Amino acid sequence: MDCGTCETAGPVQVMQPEVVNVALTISDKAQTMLADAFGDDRSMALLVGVLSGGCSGYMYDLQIVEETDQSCQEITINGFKVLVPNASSHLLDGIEIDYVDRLMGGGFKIINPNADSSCGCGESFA
Amino acid sequence: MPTAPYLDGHLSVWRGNDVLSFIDGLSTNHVLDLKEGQFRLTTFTTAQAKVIDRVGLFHMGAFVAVFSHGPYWKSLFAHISPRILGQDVTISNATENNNFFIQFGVESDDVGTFSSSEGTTVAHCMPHINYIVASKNSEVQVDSSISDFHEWRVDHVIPWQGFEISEKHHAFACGLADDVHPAKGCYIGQELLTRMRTRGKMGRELICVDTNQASQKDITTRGLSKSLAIVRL
Repeated sequence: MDCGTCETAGPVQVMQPEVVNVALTISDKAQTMLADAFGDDRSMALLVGVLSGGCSGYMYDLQIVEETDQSCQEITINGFKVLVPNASSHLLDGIEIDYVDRLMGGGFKIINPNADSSCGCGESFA
Repeated sequence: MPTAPYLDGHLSVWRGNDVLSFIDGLSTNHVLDLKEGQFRLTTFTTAQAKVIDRVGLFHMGAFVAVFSHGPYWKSLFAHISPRILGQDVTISNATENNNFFIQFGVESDDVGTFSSSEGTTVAHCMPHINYIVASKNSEVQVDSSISDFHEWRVDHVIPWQGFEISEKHHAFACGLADDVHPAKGCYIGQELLTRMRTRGKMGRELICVDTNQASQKDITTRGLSKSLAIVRL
């Protein structure tokens, strides 16, 4: 591997899922919590993405960002800017972002009609 | 040191800022802290904790070289490919450019490291086994056959792909407990493996048996007098 063979090997084609136009909803409770998080600054966006990993293979990734270098779809819901990466759009179409108010395991939750199963903590799905 | 050709070896080159977190999130061992010059074994498993493949990771600095079992590559790639999503991970296949060998019965104090010289990379992957990756124009002295290696590993109860390490068994049953990190976070199959380890109920176990006295259906590697078998505890 110090011989240059690895450097010259061409990339293999990984699966490129079809990009779908994402429709999503945000529950009233989640919108209230987002309003607290955003404050008056609506230039920020909620990035809703998916990473590999977790007990079920895919993990939700929620971030409040100013911008991202990922190719995203921008959706505006009641003044909230939501960004969904195209690379994971096929996994996120139809989701509802909810907020569960409890001491343990509370926080933002994703209700995903595309998920066949999810792990107990709700952070990952398959 | 006996050295045998490993014709089923497979080498892929994984590049990108997210490579280690990607592998860490999908396999049994903790690899986030892998540094340049280090080698580590980890195992990809299904949701039922069945083995897809055990791989060896060479951190080469600019990329991670992943040494795996050729016949399992299709399954492994089908497992990882849809999960790359938008992460910074690209994969190249460098198998055709290299030959692969196994050195066994070695004494090594530096397991988890590798060294490269004149087109040949030697990884001290287990206490008595080295993987050797050599470019096609490098010469490696071969003095054993793969059959010699399999006979040797029966005596040392070392599992191998195509025998013990297969989609039929979970990581503990086929003797890969050392690959299963006891405290890392979630990955596919982790809930089952953690539950088995915590409760001390592994179901099946890899052991060395007398070839003629063992249940023939349990034997995974058949030796002359001794064999490896995965038996119910």
